[in-house]
Amino acid sequence: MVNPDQCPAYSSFFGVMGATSAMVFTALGAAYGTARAGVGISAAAVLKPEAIMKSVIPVIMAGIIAIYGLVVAVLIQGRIDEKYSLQAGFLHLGAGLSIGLSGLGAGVAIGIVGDAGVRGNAQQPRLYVGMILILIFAEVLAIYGLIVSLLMTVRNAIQC
Amino acid sequence: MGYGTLSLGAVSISTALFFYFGLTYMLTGYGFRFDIGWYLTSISPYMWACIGIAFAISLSVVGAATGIYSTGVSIVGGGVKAPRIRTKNLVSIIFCEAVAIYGIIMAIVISNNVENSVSNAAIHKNYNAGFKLFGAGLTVGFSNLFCGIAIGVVGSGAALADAQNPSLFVKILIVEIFASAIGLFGLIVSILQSSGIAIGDKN
Repeated sequence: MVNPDQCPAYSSFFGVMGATSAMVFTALGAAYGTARAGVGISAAAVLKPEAIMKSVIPVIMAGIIAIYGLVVAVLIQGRIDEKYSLQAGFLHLGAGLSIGLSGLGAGVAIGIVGDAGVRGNAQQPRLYVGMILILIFAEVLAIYGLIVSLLMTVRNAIQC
Repeated sequence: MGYGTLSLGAVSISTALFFYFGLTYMLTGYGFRFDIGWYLTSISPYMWACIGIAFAISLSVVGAATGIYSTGVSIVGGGVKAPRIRTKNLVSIIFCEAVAIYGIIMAIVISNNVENSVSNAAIHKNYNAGFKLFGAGLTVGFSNLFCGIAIGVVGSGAALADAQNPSLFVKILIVEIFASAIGLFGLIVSILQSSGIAIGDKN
């Protein structure tokens, strides 16, 4: 029999905060990446308009980070039901913060690298492959956070 | 002092105060009084839900407003030498406005789930509902806040590039579409979080 102390009334607060933080922090990272790379694209486009379509890659990668957060948030909020234990709440809070803050870091990195990369690519086209490689390494940081958060989300927690 | 410094200062001061009070209670033997669970359950679920509604609309509007002023300044400034950019760049302003509309839609959807209750039955379900509505409001509010700021920055760049070369505007609009998708994601999560629950006697 499950100890009733493990299922207090406020246990769903932590699960909900996990879902919210997954979406909100990845949105911040994606927004920063999009805005910063967008500024670089606007500046580079004046110099070389034909390089714009190749320069949209950092923006797409920043958007993918928001999708990671969306996926985790939807997964977490789908598991919050009537029989929600405190352990499940803490697991899901950790999962949400994991993808959220990782996505925030990755988004900031993608933004700064994308900004400098598209400006450099407009002046020297041979920089393109190097910029893509660096962006991939920045995106992988968010994938690490996604792996950890998925591991925590799908774990079978105590049911009340 | 920029926004980054102020927000970092606010977050670090509040975290420091949190740990200071927690450690003081714990080390003086009164640790049982630092009770997060009591704090969460002593605040009425109506308060949680209504604060969620407030965050949903207020933060969305702040984000939209930030985007509009960023873009508007650039449109007006760039339009001094190139007045033709006025009309086309209103599209960026409309993207920001859409962010505010997401916020008001979610505020109305969340507030439809809050009803009056006269009995004390199903307290657990009311707490769950209150927390979920709080989370839903927070999600859409902050997502729209960041999305609005991003659209503003990109729209500003688009206006200035358009002033230099008219053919650039449509391509930089692609970046703005990606920026507005962020607010849409927040809206989706918030709808899922606030669906199927209600505060009140109907649960």
